[in-house]
Amino acid sequence: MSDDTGHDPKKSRRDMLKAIGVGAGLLLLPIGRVKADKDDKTADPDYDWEKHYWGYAVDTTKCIGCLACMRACRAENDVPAGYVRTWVERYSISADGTVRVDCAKDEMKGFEEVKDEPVKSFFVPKICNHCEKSVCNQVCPVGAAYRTKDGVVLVDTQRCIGCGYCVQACPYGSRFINPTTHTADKCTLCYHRITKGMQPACVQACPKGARIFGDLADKKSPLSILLRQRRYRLLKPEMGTHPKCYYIGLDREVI
Amino acid sequence: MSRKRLGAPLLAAGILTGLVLVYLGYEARTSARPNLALIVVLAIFTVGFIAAGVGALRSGAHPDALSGEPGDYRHAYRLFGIVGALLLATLAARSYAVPASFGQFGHYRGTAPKDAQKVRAPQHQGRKSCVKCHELQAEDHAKDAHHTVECENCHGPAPEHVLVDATKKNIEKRVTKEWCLVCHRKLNARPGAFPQVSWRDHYKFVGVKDESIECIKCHDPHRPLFLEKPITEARLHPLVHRCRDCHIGEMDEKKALPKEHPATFECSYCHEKLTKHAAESSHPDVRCTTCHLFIKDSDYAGRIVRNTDPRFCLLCHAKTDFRSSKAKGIDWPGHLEQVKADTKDEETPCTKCHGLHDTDPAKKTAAGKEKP
Amino acid sequence: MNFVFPNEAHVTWSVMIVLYPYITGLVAGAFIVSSLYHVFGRNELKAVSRFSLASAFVFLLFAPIPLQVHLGHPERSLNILITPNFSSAMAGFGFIYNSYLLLVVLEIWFVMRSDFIARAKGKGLVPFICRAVLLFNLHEDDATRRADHRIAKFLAGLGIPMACLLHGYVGFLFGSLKSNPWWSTALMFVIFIFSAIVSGISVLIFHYFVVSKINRWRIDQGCVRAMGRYLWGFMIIAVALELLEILSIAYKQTEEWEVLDQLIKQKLMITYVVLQFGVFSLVPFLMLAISALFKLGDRLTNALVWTSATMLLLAMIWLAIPSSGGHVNAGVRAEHRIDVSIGSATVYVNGRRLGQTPVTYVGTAGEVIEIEVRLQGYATRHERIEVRPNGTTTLTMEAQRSSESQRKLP
Repeated sequence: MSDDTGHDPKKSRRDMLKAIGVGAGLLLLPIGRVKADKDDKTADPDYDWEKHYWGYAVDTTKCIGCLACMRACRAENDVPAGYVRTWVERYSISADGTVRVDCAKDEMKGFEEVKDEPVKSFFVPKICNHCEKSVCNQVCPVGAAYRTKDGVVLVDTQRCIGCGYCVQACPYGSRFINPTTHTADKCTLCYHRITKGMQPACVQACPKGARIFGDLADKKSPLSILLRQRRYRLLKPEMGTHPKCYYIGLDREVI
Repeated sequence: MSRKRLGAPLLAAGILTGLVLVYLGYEARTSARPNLALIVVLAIFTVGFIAAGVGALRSGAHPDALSGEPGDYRHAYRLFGIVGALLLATLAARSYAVPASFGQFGHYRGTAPKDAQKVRAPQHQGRKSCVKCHELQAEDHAKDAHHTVECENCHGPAPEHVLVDATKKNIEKRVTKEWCLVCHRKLNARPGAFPQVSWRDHYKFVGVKDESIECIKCHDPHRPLFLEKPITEARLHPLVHRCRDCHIGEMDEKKALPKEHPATFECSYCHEKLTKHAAESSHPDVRCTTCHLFIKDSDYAGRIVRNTDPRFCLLCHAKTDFRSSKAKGIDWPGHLEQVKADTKDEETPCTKCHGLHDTDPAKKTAAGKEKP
Repeated sequence: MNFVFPNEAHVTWSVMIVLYPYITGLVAGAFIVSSLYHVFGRNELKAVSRFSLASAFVFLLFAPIPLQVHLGHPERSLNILITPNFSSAMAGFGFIYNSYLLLVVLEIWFVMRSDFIARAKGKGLVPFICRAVLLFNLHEDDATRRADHRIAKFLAGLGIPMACLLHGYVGFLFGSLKSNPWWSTALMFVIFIFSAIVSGISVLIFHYFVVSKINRWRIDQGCVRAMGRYLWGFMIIAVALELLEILSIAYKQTEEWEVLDQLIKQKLMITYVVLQFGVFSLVPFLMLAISALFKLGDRLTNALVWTSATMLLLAMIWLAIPSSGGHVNAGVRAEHRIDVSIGSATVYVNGRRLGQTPVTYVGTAGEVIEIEVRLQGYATRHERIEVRPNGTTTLTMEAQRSSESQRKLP
């Protein structure tokens, strides 16, 4: 059936639908999808990331708050002033139960004396927990936040657009937007060191052995042995992030 | 609202989910972990919505009389054709824009970990690299109380000096009192067993009046205690607690312990004779642990230091122009000449002539042993 | 305790982020008003139906700009379309926004085709542009108009779930974040949609009056009364949802309540409680109730409705701002200390000499300053620092090194 202009609407509708169908079909063709380059090694030839699963432990009973770890991290990783990849908190709990938490204003000057009378006071060093189910990876819109096969949560600074969603998402305050590179930044567990058999800068710098780094895949590593011997806790386990940083000697008040 | 009116929104929802489905399907072919559950659920929704929408649209008469008559859609084909072409072009362009290694191990660029490994050369080289050349300081350092402190903590990382050109000597030396206090300032949060001072009290104790005097005037940073034997080999000793180990704040240590107090050791519990003897001798006001440094090795054991290195005694007894304390000040090694000792060796331990606890040289027997 | 993690002292999501949900809220709301006419046949809204489309289009074009300004790397913003991570709500931005933009463009094309054809005749730039927009097909008759009408209706229907998605996914983005107890609620998606409708209707009322006054159009009173009634109804739902969210947190009093309680009672007392709920919600509620329930004269009704709309627009701003948790510190006077690790260096701030270290810069919290630190015998340092109240920045000065940089080691 056609109208005065000789145009058959039913036919034109069918034609349009056909065109759409063909178009949709075209979408499923492999249009120029370049396959992943299999020769491109993602690790140095000597380092096999399948063989390791890195973890970290913090012994808060040993920390003296000297901040050698913060200084080492800043020098090692060129951390911009005003931001931290690792830090140390000081908790002071007074007799009536009030909790006071603070960080040193300046790691070159250390913690200052405070005129208070706590019944309990201790230091808690903190780093990125390199969670197994990290929220930061979940919320990155462009796939710039990822976890390597050896368990380290990293940022792809080439793809990061600097939206800051991961910074908001981290429940532990480990991430920040680097004011120089304008991308997300965080503790990398000194990936450039641990893949060469060295220890992270903070672990090496600690004079008291309050920071322990090791291979969770190796049952005989110092870290694995420590975790079998001591009682430890995770930070904010209720978040369901499965952090891989284990804290020994944590008190109830530690957030 | 009639069923007919629902038709358009339902169809719309169906087309939306359909589009998402197409995209996910496209993505799934090349992704490492296609989300199949999501795809199946979306497919069900798409079919459901479209079916419901079409069904609703075809049902009954539309109150709007327009639907009965045919419409002329030809002008729309051009528009939709352009839109469709643009969409296809965008999708095609997208494929080229995705990095080659993306998705290889997960939803990230496969070569990114390699970049992370090469982001910079390690800056801190660790003590082992300093020891290779600076043997003297390393030897001292390894024996003494700072043996776990990294060289780079006070000297900063110096990769250029270590790896490239050792003649580049721009190494930091953090030697001010403020710097020592970063670790050794007395803070409530620091474990009681860790050596920490309120520096004004400490200066008063050792008799230093001038506040500008640095700690290193007395304490060599590499050998703060001048230990003659490595600290790691100091003799094992049961844990000795002071009040500060458990209690924060100033405690009156002379007060008697309450009944329910956990057991603690006083030196006199085991070393009764010696402590009595020492209390009556030349160092009556000095606690045993001032000279016999007690180091808490772990929660289970400690070590006690016996140090006869003369420089250790000199920490209190050196005669200097900036200090005036109760401790009798002597000139070293001038003292050896003064007393006409039969040795001029600077490393002669003071205990050779002076006793261990009773330091009156007259009280020493010819064999060098103390008279009880 | 008032402790924030050191990295969280810097506010990452600030005003720019707040603007995007606000604008898409306006867009979504305006579009839904248009769809109320095109799909659901609310004829009393005919007067603003096309106006609302144009409104939506213009706001939509502007919406990504604050986001791009916020991004650290706006040139990489296409990554969201190239490698979207669908576990992230934010990955929806590229697709949802672009497809919605396409939809609005198409809808305008079909709804206003007759107007374009009317303007396309003749010579000159504007007629040429109109012809180009029409893709050089100026044929028009009853059949084409029927086709246009049906397609527009279809698109308008398609647009409703898409509008909900456009603004709702932003709500989901905030609401799904478990690490922030202030935002984390399942209601967030719904709150955003209803607040979008409220702000959409408000902005339409606002613009309708302003543009009508400027162009001296006759105001369609039926339309205004209808919009006033819709605004009242949707506003009740939106405010109720907001209150429900905060009251349920206040009632449950789980751990995060202590922080939120302090926040509401102190820093946000004025902006949140007094202004947003008190002034900018209660007063419009009363004004709209009066205009809806009582038969008042035209001028009075218009005045009440317009004022309410404006106040609600402002209320929505305040809704967004404390919800985003941004700039709680902003505007606060801050003293930031600058010092160096060795010696006494000269500090220049934004080009002007400030003094010898240790030196204190007095500014506002959140301000970013460029400092240059010079010390004889050491490499001059250039830094950008964010001013924080009682903040300190200590820079390590490196002695002047040779040309080979420390970073180029093998």
